[in-house]
Amino acid sequence: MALILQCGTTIGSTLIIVLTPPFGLECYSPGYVAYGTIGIDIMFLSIISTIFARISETRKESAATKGFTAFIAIALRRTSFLLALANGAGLIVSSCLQFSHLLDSCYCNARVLTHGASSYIIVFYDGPIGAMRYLRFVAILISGISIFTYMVFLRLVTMLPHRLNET
Amino acid sequence: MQMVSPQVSSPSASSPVSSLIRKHSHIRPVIISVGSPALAAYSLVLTSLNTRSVYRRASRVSHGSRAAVAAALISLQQLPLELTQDERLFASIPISDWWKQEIGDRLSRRETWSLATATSIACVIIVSTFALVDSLASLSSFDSVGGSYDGHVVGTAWLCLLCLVVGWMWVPGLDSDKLETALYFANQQAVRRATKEFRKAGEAAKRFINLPRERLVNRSVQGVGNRGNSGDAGREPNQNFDLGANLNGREDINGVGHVVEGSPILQDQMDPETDQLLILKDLGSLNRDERRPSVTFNYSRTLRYLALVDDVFGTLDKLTRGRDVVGLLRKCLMSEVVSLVFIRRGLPLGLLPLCSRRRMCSLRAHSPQCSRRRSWPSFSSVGQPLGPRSS
Repeated sequence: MALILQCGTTIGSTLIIVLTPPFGLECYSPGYVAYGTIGIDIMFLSIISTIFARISETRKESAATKGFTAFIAIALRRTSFLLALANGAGLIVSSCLQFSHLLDSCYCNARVLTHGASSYIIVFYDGPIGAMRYLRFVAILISGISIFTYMVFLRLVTMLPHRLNET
Repeated sequence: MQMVSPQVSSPSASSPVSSLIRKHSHIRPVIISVGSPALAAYSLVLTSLNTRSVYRRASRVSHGSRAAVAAALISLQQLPLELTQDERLFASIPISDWWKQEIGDRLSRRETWSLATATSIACVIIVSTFALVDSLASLSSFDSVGGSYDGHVVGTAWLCLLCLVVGWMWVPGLDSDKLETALYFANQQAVRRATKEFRKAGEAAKRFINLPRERLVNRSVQGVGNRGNSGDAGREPNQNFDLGANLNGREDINGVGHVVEGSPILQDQMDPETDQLLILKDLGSLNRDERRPSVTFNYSRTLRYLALVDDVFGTLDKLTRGRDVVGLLRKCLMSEVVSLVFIRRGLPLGLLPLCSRRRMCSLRAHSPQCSRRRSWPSFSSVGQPLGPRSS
């Protein structure tokens, strides 16, 4: 159990890095933040569902509590699947929209909600272009590093030699 | 005894396994991996960590067949399996050929391409093409921000899928038909080989151990109540129970004599269809994800899988340590027949240190030489039968 827990935390932290949305300042960023968080939520929901299913299977108590845990497990499983469906559809739709430049006209309309009048400054102010380029580079670098970390971790775990001398 | 040759019969649609595995669920892994790459990546890492933990668990067992057992168990990660509680079938666990031939060889060639893999790689290719076109187009056009960023954003977001594809190549999944066939034949062969092992052990016991008859009867009667939970509740309690009790982690070698004399196990036919060593667990809607043989759903099987691994290696360990009648006989009679004969003939006991003390004592306890020296130091610690000794 301790092994599972440790693995879970390690993997979870790794994956949070992986799923960090590459851009924090753009119009689409709430969508990507939502994508990342829902993805991680799905993961935790599924893990909890698994644990509940196991509890409901192994516990020797009255039928009522058993049915309750089973209900929680099944409900969590279905919820996580529906969330995954919606999440994937959202990602596909969002990337289609972005590629077709459909929403480019509302360049910073989304920011108005959070930043108010200051959201227009960036549009007309051409000062931080270099900074934005730098930021974009850093974001891509972060995403690349996290993916690289995950791949290296997986590769090491997969390929480290197991010493099991055959007798 | 019913012999089922693996070449003739095949897992038909009516086999109990095939209805439980949800084979034709290919679209769910795709949805899960697009919707939540975290979950798919978690499954991937969990799969490989499970592999490592299997090896680690195997390294604590000192049995010759542990490598074969470990290799077979690793390839069975995609099924929700459970070890049976029918102790008669445990006799086939130490047989390394069984693991190697029935599971290892059948699952040797791995499937690296599945629908999920193909979909993910197609998505990544499409998205990266769009991103490239997009950035090239925006390079040529005059843009105050300096090039479009859309391609980068979407490209990085979809890059997780590329990760998953590469991970699926490293941790390849197995074809569900293959898994089903392997499980089916493995269970059939387990029954067959367990029966063979019992017969072998019985003959060996007949040859080397001659015990007074009345002790045997006492032992077998007291053993009946010890086998608490049988594998399937529906089966009627029959006379095999005393053997099961003797196999129940008790070092009760007298039971073997009963097997030889009464030999219910030799006449009893373990049905290969119903008596399974590795039971595919079906809990209806509760573990529907577990019965989807895709690597993406390995996360849901982890707890059950680790329990299975622990059970198998624990049983193997128990058999190795000679706490079990069959394992004890196999080990003792293979390697120490010669010294046993020496002891019986009353030769000096100077040969004894050559052999393992524990195994030696459990055998010596029943030889006339040993009845004089009951207070052998390690004998009392090995495993006294719980009931009163009737000697």
